[in-house]
Amino acid sequence: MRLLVVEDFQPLRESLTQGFREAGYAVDEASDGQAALWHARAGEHDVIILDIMLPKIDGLSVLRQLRQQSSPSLVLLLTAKDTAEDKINGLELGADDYLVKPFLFAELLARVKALVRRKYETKSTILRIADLEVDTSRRCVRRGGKPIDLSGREYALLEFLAHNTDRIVSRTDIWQHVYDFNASPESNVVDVYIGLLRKKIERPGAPRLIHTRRGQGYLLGEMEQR
Amino acid sequence: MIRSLRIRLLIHTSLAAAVILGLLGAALYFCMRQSTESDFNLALLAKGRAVASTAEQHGQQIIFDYAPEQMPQFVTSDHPDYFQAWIDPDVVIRSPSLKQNDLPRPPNNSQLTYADLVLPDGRSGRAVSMSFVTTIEPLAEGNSPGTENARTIVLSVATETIGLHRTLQNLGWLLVGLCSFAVVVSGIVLLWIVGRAVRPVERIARDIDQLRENDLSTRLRSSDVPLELQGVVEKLNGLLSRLEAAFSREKAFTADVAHELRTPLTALLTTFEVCRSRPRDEAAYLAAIDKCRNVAQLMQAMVEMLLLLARAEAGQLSLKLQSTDAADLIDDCWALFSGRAEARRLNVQWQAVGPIPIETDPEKLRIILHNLFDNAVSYADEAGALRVSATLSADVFRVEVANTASRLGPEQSSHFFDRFWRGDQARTDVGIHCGLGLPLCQRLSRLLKGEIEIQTTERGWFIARLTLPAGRLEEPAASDEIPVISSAV
Repeated sequence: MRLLVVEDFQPLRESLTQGFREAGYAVDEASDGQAALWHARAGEHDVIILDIMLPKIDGLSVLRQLRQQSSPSLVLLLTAKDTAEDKINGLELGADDYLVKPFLFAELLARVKALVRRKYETKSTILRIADLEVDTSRRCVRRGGKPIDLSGREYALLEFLAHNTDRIVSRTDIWQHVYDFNASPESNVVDVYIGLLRKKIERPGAPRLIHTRRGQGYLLGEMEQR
Repeated sequence: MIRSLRIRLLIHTSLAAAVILGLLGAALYFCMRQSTESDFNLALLAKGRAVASTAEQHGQQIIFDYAPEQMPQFVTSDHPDYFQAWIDPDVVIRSPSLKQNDLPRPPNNSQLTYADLVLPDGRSGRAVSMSFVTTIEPLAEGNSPGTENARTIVLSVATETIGLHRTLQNLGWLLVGLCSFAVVVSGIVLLWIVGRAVRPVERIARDIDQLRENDLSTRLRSSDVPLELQGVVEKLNGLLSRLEAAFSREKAFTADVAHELRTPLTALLTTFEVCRSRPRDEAAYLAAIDKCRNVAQLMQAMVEMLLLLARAEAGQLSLKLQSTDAADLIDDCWALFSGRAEARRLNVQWQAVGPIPIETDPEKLRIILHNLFDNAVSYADEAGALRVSATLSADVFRVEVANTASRLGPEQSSHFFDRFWRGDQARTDVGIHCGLGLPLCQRLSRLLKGEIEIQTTERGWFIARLTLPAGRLEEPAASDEIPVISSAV
């Protein structure tokens, strides 16, 4: 999942970015409204964590422009403004959630996870594909009841595929949602991680779950054996 | 000391009414007494003249020719009147009522005199004395009446004054009674009038009592207040307006402080939380600790600036005046920013050549210069320009710090000295410019008896001009007042 953290106070922005990355998210960051709009146009972020008081263009104006451009990203407003009017104003402009500073990072993380579930229309925190279980709250994966150890990037890739079960996702989609601007855009990096993921979740004798659709992308799901 | 305005008004007005009524009663009594005594004296004089009119002189003989039945009061034994006449020195006649007694002999002159006396029967009385010349009756035909041998008779007529005294006494008591009644009635009327007069005061007191500290928007009604209280109501409403404005400012200030501290506080919490979410190596922990320390230092700087601003606004800062070379001070302050200016490749134009001797508080001036330099270096565009000039003329010291890349327009000039106002309404990545520096500079410059003004130009210059008196200042005494906003910090 790919996030955009927009916060002008550098120490907070750095800590949020670090926390989200360590939680398995691809994170882009911006320190002002102008940069936020540029990042939002350049990448497809699942959730944008947006401060309201920003230099150059304030957060509410950024939100308004995002909604005018029909951005599919969900927006969580992060602000020190705590009056009911501020919240109503932000939500009516198209924000999907609102969190007042100071907050616990765990709460912010939980809200971001909830927004991701909402985006992919999954109500449960456990995604099931055949005998594969992806627990998005605990960030652990099991197949046939046996735990599978995945790296952060592998888990992020699997979670994205799991949120799009039985749908073909292109390499570009994967790149857009799993990698941030800090990752080097090598042409076969997605294929390499798909290969690594297959080795870990597809054991000999067990049905294949990750399928390649030549020229289209990948699909996670239980297919009928031909 | 009677503290009730109603009772004091009642007592004072009642006393005044009693004194006025008493004086009026006394004056009326004396007028009526004069009138009554005058009537009594006229009646007595009429009796005397009636007696005198009966006196006839026949040759050398004096005869009072009156019939007792015509003047029974001089004959009867019950409450009689008396008269007695003298032709010097002999008694000519006594009224029968006198028997062998005498009336006091009046002085032998022609003036009409009245005298109080004790009548022969022991009653109090009054006598009128008069002198007159007898009428000579003709003794034989052919003699005409004349005055050649007329004799002067002194006549004294006396009558009792018991009736007069009783009348005057009754009149006195009547007036005392009337005055007392009038005082009581006027007291009751005054009680009602005073009650009505102080009713607006009581209503204002009720209105004031209904004021609540959490809603100072209420104003006292001035529509049906007497003219004398209009001023009081207007002053109270003015005070309420000022209090409301002050409370609103403090409320906004408290909200601003809370708001400004939330972001760095969140940064601290998030950094701690992320740091302890998993085991890390020593370098990662040290980096997190350093970050938290930097954030804490920013918060400390903000709190200290708030406290300084609060003390300045409450008049709690004292001046420590001393002779200072302002050029040296400017150089010292600039030394802290020259590195940052160089790193940002700013073109610094310097027009502050010393010595510039002034009498000021160098620490306060240092804080002002520090803020002005910090703003200029922070907000100037990369490779932009920064201009510093200092001059001394006619005992006025002027410092100008200007930088390019101002995005602020004249329409924002009214906010430059508002607390927590920022041109961009956000922190920038060059530090925590939370909108307290310029308000603090303004307070401190006023403390130094100077002024600071900001000008923005169309070409993007942001110019801060500080003007201070260079001569001796009087050191103000520090106030003991506790600043309200310090509690908010």
